[in-house]
Amino acid sequence: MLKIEHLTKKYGETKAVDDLSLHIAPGEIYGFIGHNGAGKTTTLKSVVGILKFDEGEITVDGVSVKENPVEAKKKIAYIPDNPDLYEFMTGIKYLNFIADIFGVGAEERQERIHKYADAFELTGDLAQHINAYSHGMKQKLAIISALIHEPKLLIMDEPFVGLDPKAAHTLKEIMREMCSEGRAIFFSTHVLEVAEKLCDKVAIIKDGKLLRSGTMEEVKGDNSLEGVFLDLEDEK
Amino acid sequence: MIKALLKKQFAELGATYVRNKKTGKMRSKAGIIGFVLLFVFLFALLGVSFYFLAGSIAEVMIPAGLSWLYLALTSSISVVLGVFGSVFTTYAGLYQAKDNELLLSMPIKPSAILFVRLTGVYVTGLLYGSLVMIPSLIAYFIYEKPSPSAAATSVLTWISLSFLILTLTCILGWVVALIASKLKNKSFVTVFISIAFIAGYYIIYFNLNKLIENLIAHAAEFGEKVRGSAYPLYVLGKGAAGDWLSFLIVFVVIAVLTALTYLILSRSFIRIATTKSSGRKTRYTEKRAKVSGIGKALYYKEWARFSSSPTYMLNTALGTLLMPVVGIIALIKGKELTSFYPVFEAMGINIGAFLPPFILAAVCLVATMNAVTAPSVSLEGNNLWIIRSSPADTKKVLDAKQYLHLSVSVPPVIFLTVCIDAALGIDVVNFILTVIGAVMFSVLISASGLALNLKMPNLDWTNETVAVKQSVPALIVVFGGWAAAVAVGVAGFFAVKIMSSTVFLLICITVFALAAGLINLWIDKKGTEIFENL
Repeated sequence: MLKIEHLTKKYGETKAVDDLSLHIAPGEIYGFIGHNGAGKTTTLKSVVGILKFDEGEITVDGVSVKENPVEAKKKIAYIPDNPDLYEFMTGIKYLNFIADIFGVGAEERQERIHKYADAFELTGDLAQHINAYSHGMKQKLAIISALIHEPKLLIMDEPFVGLDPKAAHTLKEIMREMCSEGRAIFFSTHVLEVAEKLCDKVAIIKDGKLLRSGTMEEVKGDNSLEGVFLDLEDEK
Repeated sequence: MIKALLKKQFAELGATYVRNKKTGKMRSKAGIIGFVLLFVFLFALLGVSFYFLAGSIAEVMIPAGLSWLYLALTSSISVVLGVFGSVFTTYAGLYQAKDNELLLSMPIKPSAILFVRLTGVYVTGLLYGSLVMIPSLIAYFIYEKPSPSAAATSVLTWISLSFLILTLTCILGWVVALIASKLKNKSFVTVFISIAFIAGYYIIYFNLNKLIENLIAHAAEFGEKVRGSAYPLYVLGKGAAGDWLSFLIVFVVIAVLTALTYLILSRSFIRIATTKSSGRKTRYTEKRAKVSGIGKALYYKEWARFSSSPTYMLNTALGTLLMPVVGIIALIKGKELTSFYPVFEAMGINIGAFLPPFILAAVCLVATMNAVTAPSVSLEGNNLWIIRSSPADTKKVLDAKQYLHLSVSVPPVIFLTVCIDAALGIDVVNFILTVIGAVMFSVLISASGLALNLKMPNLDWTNETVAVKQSVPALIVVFGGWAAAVAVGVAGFFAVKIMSSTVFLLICITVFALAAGLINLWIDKKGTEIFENL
């Protein structure tokens, strides 16, 4: 579903991501962990076409992000670490705007808004302007908007930050449901317990370089994910 | 700590002018000097016009022994200009700043945050007030030649009044903030109040000559009335004119008012800065969704942003409101203008030939007041990720910004041109060509604003006012547009001596269309690339 080949992204002379390669198959939940400034967000933003990269290639379901960004973006949904949404719109208008951009039909969008807004207990607040939303409500709205076009690949940057326990549980259920339908998820997190329980595969990044990747068993062996992560962080 | 906060405040105020927002690097020295010179020039231009106004009053009142009335009058005008010039900046800067909560969470006293914000407000009010007061004092020194003691009190009175401006601005800004926190549709209410103020300003402006003539003719009588029924104004004037006791009264009253305002504001600052709209919560009821295409959805997004922000509407689309008003005035007063035709003919001006270029120039001058695209890229701010991660073609995203400008500008431009054409009775061919020329000029303004904002974006603003009001692209578009309008008028005046006005209008249309086409070509090729790399 997602192929990242030799991705390199520089900011001036500094390499934020250095020759990173990852493959994510349909039906996989892929966790992406690393310290602050390791290059996680830069990688995710490169995948969704927000950042132009210097070297390498990214393909989503066989479509090149570099060569055909619009077609690639149709298959992706992105939830950033900080949900800065259009505060001048109401929640429902924002969802309809995103649905229009992704070309979702009237019936499908209505059904999905109903389903996900109910699941995240946001239905009653959809007529409110987003500037009246709390951080958690904005995060829920960003998640619903990401699910509205049934993306083949869901990219999330720290998706559990700001969510209450019930909403976090709902999101995990939705993630599993998506994967059972053959779609894929690639997300960054600092919560290693969540990654350990939820992910099929995991990648650890440090200073822009991929340190280790593979199935959870391959990466952590008999150790805990936290132990492996801390050991790798201490290595030079 | 205060020093650090002040540094932050002024860095924010001056960031647009000294730092390139895209690269984060300082602008070149030449760039900074250019900006400074531009503002000095504007300040001087307005100052000179106020000097002539003040001089005309001073040359009558001062010899008549009414120096106090002259100083009271000019001081009052400067206070009014200072207060209204800075009240909306106060509202946005004091109560709407994005970093209010961040600063409040730090170990900083709210009174210190308030003090630093007030410094910015004081500087803004001082600048606006000085536009009137400095030329007025110069006129006073020239016509009165005051004693050192009177010169000192006149200057000290102005310094004291600058604090009165601050006090009144804070009180009005506080009222605006309090009302705004209770309102649901505050953007439209703000626009309504602002337009009422602007209308009032223009009514006074157009009747100013009559008012001054009246005042000069009945200066002594007016002075007596002020002394009788507006005694504080008399004390203010007397104090400024050299009466130390009166000055001390004015000084003490202003000092007490300023201290009281600061005390009250510092106590209520947290409450006002953190109060959210208490409008009734609207509960969502499911309705059948309306489906739109990408272009329409992007246009809707631009419209929603525009209509939700009074700052955006008032600063970039005032022409939309002004053009119909000017059009109606032209229809009503048109006959009065045609009665001047014989006078122009007697001066050797072929009015029939010059009229069409003149109309086009006049409409262009007013149409330039709309520059909706100029801050439109900057306004994406932190929301840029939404568009950048969506499968919307960048060209369509940028087109939507231009469609918004055209939809709020072209109808009033057509209305205004048709009204003036009809009022002045020009022939059918030139009638049509002036309309096409005016529309084409709007298209050019739209493309220029967008191109300039792509070249000079400001995405890391802390409050929207910075992105709109301190928009260098908007400044360039407005002044460039005015220059172009004047050029059309001047070129037309000479051109009609060697060609018909129809040919001249056709040349103008071709130039506007060619320029707009070239800029749009640049936007399609380079502009989209710049937007994708923001």
